[in-house]
Amino acid sequence: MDELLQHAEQEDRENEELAAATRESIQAVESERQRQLQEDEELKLALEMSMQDAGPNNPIELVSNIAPTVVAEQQEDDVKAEPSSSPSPPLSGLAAIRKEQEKSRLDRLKRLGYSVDDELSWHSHKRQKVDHAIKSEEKKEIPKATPSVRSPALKYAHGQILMTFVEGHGGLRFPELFDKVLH
Amino acid sequence: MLKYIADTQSHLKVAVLSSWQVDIDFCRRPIPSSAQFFLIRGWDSATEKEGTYGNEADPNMFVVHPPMLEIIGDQRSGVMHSKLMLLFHHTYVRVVIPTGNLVEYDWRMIQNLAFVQDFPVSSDKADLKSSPFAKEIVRFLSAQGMPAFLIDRFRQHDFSMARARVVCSQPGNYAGEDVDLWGFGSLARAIASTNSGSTSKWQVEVQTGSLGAAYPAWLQYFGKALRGLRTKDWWHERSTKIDRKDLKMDLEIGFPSDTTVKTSKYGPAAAGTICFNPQYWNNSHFPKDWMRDVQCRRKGILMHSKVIIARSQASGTQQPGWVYMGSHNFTSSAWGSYTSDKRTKEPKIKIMNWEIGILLPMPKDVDVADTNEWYEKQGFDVPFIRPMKKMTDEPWFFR
Repeated sequence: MDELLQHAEQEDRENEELAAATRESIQAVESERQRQLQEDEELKLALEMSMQDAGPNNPIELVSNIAPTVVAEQQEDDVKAEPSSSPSPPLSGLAAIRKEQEKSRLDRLKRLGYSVDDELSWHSHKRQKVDHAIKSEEKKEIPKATPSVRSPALKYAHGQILMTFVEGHGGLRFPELFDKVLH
Repeated sequence: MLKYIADTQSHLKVAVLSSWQVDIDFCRRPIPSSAQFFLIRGWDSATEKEGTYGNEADPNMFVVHPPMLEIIGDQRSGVMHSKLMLLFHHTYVRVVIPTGNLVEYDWRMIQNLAFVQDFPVSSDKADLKSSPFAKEIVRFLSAQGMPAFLIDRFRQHDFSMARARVVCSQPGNYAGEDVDLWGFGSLARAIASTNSGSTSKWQVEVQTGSLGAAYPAWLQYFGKALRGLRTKDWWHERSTKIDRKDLKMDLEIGFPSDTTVKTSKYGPAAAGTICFNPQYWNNSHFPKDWMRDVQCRRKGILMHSKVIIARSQASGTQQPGWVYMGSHNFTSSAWGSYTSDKRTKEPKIKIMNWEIGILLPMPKDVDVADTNEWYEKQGFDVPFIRPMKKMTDEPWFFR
């Protein structure tokens, strides 16, 4: 029994060791990664281009603990799950796009017969009602699953275990999972 | 010129990504800013809290800190080690279970695997009773605290083409009826549900990114799970003095040797997530003769994948075996470690980490050839050279 407990304690330490080891390794590998990125100007350019699609290149700044039920499903043109009470950041190119998308969403709500103020100061029950209306509309658009939908349209209709990309060896690249291909 | 081109036919609505290590720039890049993005990640209990968080700079992004093992005294916390991805498109959901973290070097410098399958949208909610694949993912998402609408949306797909089973672990201490919910219990249930369990002798190949103590009692627990047995069916008959012959299992544990790491293309710098404590190796009970110096099929590349290939010598109605692939390393932190309740003598299991993987049963009606080519035909790229070589020098040690 003592031996079992000893082993269990060893295993408890294992996670801490794993985490510490990885932190050290990340630093070492990061150096190698930086070197490779410098050598590969094309890739660097590609990454910069792709960021145009990805949004702001900021570290995560968690702003609040949102109850899971408050995180609402986004519908169609909806780009903002909950209005923020904090001051608006200055408009960047991306923010301008978001504003345009938000306008499009408001127009859509108005078409559905809802009166929505421009400041987005909705109460949550009103928001739920609106969401429900949109959801009902969207449901009508969901195609019923049929064999024709299932077979040729789906790239991975059958479960596959694939080797991921490794430099110089090919394989499945991360962006491909998002139906983005590299040329 | 190298560049990303978005497929205009795809309309990614919601992306759920999860990982232990996360490089935000790397994983945010392929997701359109118009899609909702849920990132489930590990968190530091000293400075952060469980919950779902918004991100002011990126209003469509939500960060989820799932519940972790409660830390009592100086005990160590577990790891949010699972790597489930759900990519919701207008007409289908793509389920991805990779072994790599959301960092570029896991997807560029070392070998990982990814299970990928697309499921079409259905007008009916999936019946979880008839879809064990969906049921386990729903159970897993619920346990991690994901929003109800997202789980509902996931269920709105046709999972009839799923042949894999999902195997998962949630951190916690479990007893009674809960003892088989996660970890070894989840593995055993998946095996039993595919009729792959067998009490006959097994040949088992394990390839792991990190390796635990693999002490005799723990190997016995693993042996019970791979036969699809429920804990209550063997706990009181278990051996306390374990003879390896009683395990009825030829086990090969694939892990790189010190030489393999040092002579690899990127060297020790790429082996920081390949961990093994020399104390385990030096323990007199450690099964050194079962260790194999695993080599990637891609020369000089180290592996971060985790694979179990299990073949039974059963005949008759049972499946000939199964393949596991996912985030579980061959450690008790991932699969669990049993102890006996001091008062009742009933089993308890402690699991440290969030983990998820899939199990594919081997087809029964075709000849099972023990070659990598055969596995490829079954939709499984085996990443390592088989048979594995005996470990002739010391394994790679990293703590």
